[in-house]
Formats: sequence, C-alpha cells, structure tokens
Amino acid sequence: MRKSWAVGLIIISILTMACGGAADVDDYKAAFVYVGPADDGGWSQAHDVGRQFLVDETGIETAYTELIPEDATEFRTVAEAYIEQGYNIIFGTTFGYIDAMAEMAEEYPDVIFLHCSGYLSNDSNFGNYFGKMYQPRYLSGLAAGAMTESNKIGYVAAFPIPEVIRGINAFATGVKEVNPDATVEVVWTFTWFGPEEETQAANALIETGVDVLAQHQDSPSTGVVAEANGAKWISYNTAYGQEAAPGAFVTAPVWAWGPYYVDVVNSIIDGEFAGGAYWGGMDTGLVSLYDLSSDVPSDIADLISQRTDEIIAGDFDPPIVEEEFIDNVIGTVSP
Amino acid sequence: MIDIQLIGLLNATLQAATLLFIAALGELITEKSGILNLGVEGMISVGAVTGFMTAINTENIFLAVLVGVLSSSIFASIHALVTVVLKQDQTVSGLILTILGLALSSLLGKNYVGRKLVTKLESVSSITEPSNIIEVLISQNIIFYLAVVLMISTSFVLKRTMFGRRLEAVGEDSKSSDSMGLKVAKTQFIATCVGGAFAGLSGVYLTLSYVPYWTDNMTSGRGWIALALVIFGGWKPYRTALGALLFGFLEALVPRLQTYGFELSPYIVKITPYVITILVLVILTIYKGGKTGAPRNIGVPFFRENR
Repeated sequence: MRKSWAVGLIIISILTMACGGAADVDDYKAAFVYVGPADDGGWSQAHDVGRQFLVDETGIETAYTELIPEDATEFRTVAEAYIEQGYNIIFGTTFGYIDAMAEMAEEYPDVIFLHCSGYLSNDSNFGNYFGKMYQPRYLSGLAAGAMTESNKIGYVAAFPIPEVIRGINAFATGVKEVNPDATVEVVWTFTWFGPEEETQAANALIETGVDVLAQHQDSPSTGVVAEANGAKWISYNTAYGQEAAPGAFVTAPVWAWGPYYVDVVNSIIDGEFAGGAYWGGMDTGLVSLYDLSSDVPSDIADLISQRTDEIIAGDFDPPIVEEEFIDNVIGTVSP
Repeated sequence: MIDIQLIGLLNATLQAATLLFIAALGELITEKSGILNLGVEGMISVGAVTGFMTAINTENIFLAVLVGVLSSSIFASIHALVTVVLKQDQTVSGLILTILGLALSSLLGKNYVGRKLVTKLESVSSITEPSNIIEVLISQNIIFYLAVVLMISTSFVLKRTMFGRRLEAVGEDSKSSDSMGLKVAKTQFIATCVGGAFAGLSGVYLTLSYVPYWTDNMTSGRGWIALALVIFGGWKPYRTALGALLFGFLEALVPRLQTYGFELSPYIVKITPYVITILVLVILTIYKGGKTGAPRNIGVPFFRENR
C-alpha cells in the first residue's frame, strides 16, 4: 500500500511539474475593437454583451475601444496600444479591419487575432468567425409569412452582398413555406446604419402596401416606421430595438457572441487554437431567433419551434442562395 | 395605385426638404454676415439630442422644440466666440464644431438611444392618409409651415429691413461697414447664433418628427448637404428652398425608384445633389463671371486695427 502511495505521489508531482509550463487564464488579456458605440442597440452592443459574458464565464481580463472606423491605420493604432499593455488576444468586430489584422498577425506572431465576418486567416494566430444568420432569418420568415394580411412583406436591406442576399432568400423561403401567395419586396439603402435612409426605404415599402417589415440594418428606424403605420416588424441584431417600437415588434434574428468567445478563449488557453475559419450555426447558440411576440399564431409558433429543433439537430438547413433572389422576392441583386 | 405612390413620394420629399432647408437657411444668414460655419452637422445633432431628451423627460413638445433651438444656438455661440471675438480661422473652428457637436450629442444621448418617443410633432390636420396633393400640403407638422414662414420672412428681412441691409453690408465689406459705424462683431455674433438656432430647429424636426427616436450619428451627413444647398441657392432664400425640394426629392426617390421597378442605379441618384451643386458653381462662374452670390468677405476675419 505504502509503495503505491509513493508511486501516486511521484506521478502527481511529475504531472504538476509538466503542467507548470502550461497557461491559465491569467496569462491572457483580451481586447475588443468595435466599429460603433458599445451601446448602439445593434451590432456592436451584441459583441459587447458577448465580451461581458466572456468575463463572467472565464474571469479573463478584457478591455474594449468603441467607434473605431473601418480603416487600417485607425485599427492598428488601437491594437498596438493594447499589445504594448500586454493584451495578447485582439478581437476586431467589423469587416473593414481585415487588412490591418492580416498584416498585424504576421508582425505579432505571439498575439492572437480574431476577426469577425472576414475571410482571411492563417493556421496559427489569425482566425475569422461568423454565424449562420440565415438560419434564424428563415425562422423569422415563417412568422412574417403568417402575419401578413396584404400578402406583401417589405425588407429594408443594406448592401447587395452575399451575406445579405443569403439572409433575404432564407427569409423568403420561410415566408413561402407558410404563405405561398406572399411576396417579399426588397429596398436597398446602401448603408449599414443610416436612420434617414432606412426611414425613407421603410416608408417607400409601406406605400406599396406591405404590412410586415423586416430589415438587415443596424438602426431601429424600420421598426419606428412600422409602429407609426400599424405594420409588424422583424428586427435584427439584438432585441433591444423593441423598446423603440414595442407594438410592431414580432421577433428578431439575434447574435449571441458570448458562448463562442468563451469557447475560443478556452481553446487558446488550452493551446489548441490554430487559426482558421469558424462559421457557427444555431446549434452553437451563436445565432438564434428571439422570443416571439404574443400575436404570432400558436400553430406558427409551434412550427417555428419544430424547425428550430430540426436545424439544431442538423436534420434541416434552409437553402443557401446568394447569387440571385428566389422567385417570391421582388427586387434586384445588382441595383 | 401609381397615384398613392406619388403622394408618398411628395410627402417624403417635403419631409427631407424641410430638414435640409431650415439648416441651410440658418447657414445662409450666418454666411451673409461673412462668417462661414462648417459646424452645421454638429449643431443639428446638438439640437436633435437636447430636443429629444426634453421630449422624453417632460413630454412637453413645445418645451422640447424650444430647448433644442436654444441649446443649438448657444452651441453656435462657441463658433461666434472663436471667430468673431478671438478672430480665429473659421474653417477650423467650424470643423471642430461639427466634431464636437457629434461627440457631445453621443455623450448626452447615451441613455436615450432607441427609446420610444411618446409625444412627437403631429400633423396639424386630422388627415392621416392624404389622398391628393392638397391634403399632403395641409397635413404636414407645424415645423414645415414654420419653415415656409421663415423662408418668406428671411427673404423680407434680408432685402427690406435695416438689419438685413446691415448684415449684407458687413458680409460684403466689413471694413467699410465699420467705417460707416456699423457694429461688425455684434452683427456677426447675432447672425452666427441665429444660424445655430435654425440648425437646432432642423435637429428637433429630425428627432421629434422625421425619424422620431435618437441614436448616435443621426444626422449622417445632412449638415453637409445643407452647406452645399446654400451654394446651390446662391445665398437666396427662395432658390435655397427650391434646391431643398430638389435634394429632398432625390433623397425620397432613391428607395422608391426600387419599389417602382426602375433599373436606374440608386448610386447615381445619390451623387446627384453634389454633381448639381458643382455644375451650378461651374455654370455661374462661366456665365456670370464668378458671381455665385457668395458674400465677398466670407471666411475673412475682421480686424479693426488691420487696415
């Protein structure tokens, strides 16, 4: 017995010595760079909620800088200041930081760069991440198709790029499934965030007779227009916008970056991180559909929860179409 | 069907034009005195956020408009202080006013982002869905009619009153005006603050009616279009109004062209206001020998001792 105790002690001490060199959470500090204000009620706020979740779950030290334009020099200035202060994980949460992050990843091999919505990465210290937003958009289309009485749904969209077109088609697929007679009319605003442009676009759609409005925009303008005209509204990004238009709000495809941030930081700490691309679906919790408002018919609510289960289980995935619009969408992908 | 859409287009045109016109008219008055204020964007933001905050907290729409106008006017007095009293560079001071105004409004409005406005500027008539042009014209909110009144009265004041003539004299030739006993600094100071007040009115129109909520960077460039509008309008109130209608029409047209099913690129429509402004400048330079209507002393600080 005594012998085995001794062996056990030796094994434990060897293990402890071996692990002495491994990292724990105190060796890392994570910095976040946002394009908008951290409390914009949309895109950047969703990332900041994720950052707070990361802190709560892992105890890692974090910092953030808001309102950094999509400009290589601006990003570099902020990121280098963080690196000087010992931050070794940098999250860039908008597309426009892509070139600066790719360059800096080469210059600073000991710092890990994580870029949201980009397409560049390497196999060591530079990764990109994004979510399958088309999945909850499809689900929100089910709600929209059921709620329209005029069979006309409007969609205020930012730019004709694959991410947005994919979302519109997934939404229209959902609409078609519950309401084959309904159409989805698209108006491009050519801005991610433009309260006046979004208002004008939403009004233009209301004038064509739509009674449900959806959006791929970062301000709640569309919701405010819907509320003023007695229409319904499918929001986006976060559910915070519903405060501006509580009567119109139906639901919203939303981001939840927190779980991903926790996973990726844990993999960095464990030494398993190796760059690459991450595209998380509803099964990861990165994207989801926010709670439905009470005026969604119960059979549709049941259908949505059934489809949610199927998507999460991997039994069903809305089609990805990003070159052209499907047949119940009115508009053009090359305006 | 097409009829209803044209009504909507007209309505949207008037809304977009009102916002641009009031700010441009204020800038016109300021520039007439020889002071260039590039801070329109910042001044609109300050008026927009303070008006919105007041409306949320007091639910008194009249007070909200008043606070928006006054705070923007006080904000403009910074520019007056720097350029009129301290004689510093107007371009730099104006740009700073824009940056400061945008940042200040973000800071002030932090807790007001996305909040629902209970009391907003309502239409003066009970027509909620106008069906013809007359009904569109009589169903705007009070600030639209105020803009019309301001247009007529500004034109009258500039052309027919002593104050207007003095304003123009100061803007055209501040040294001669000073020799004639006009109070150059006082006139310029007042004109700058009036410009600020107008920008504030445009701001409250934005957050209490046109896009009735608050979020950062609400103005998104409207202040700059207002500046272009002053040049387009040749520093004349009626022509500025015409320009505002044109620019507002283009703004309203971008999304509607798509719903009407036209294939014209919205990018082209979007650049049109700026192209038109440049064209007007070029045409005036060629055919009128450079007489764009700009006050001769614009941007030049007035030093009494510097003769």
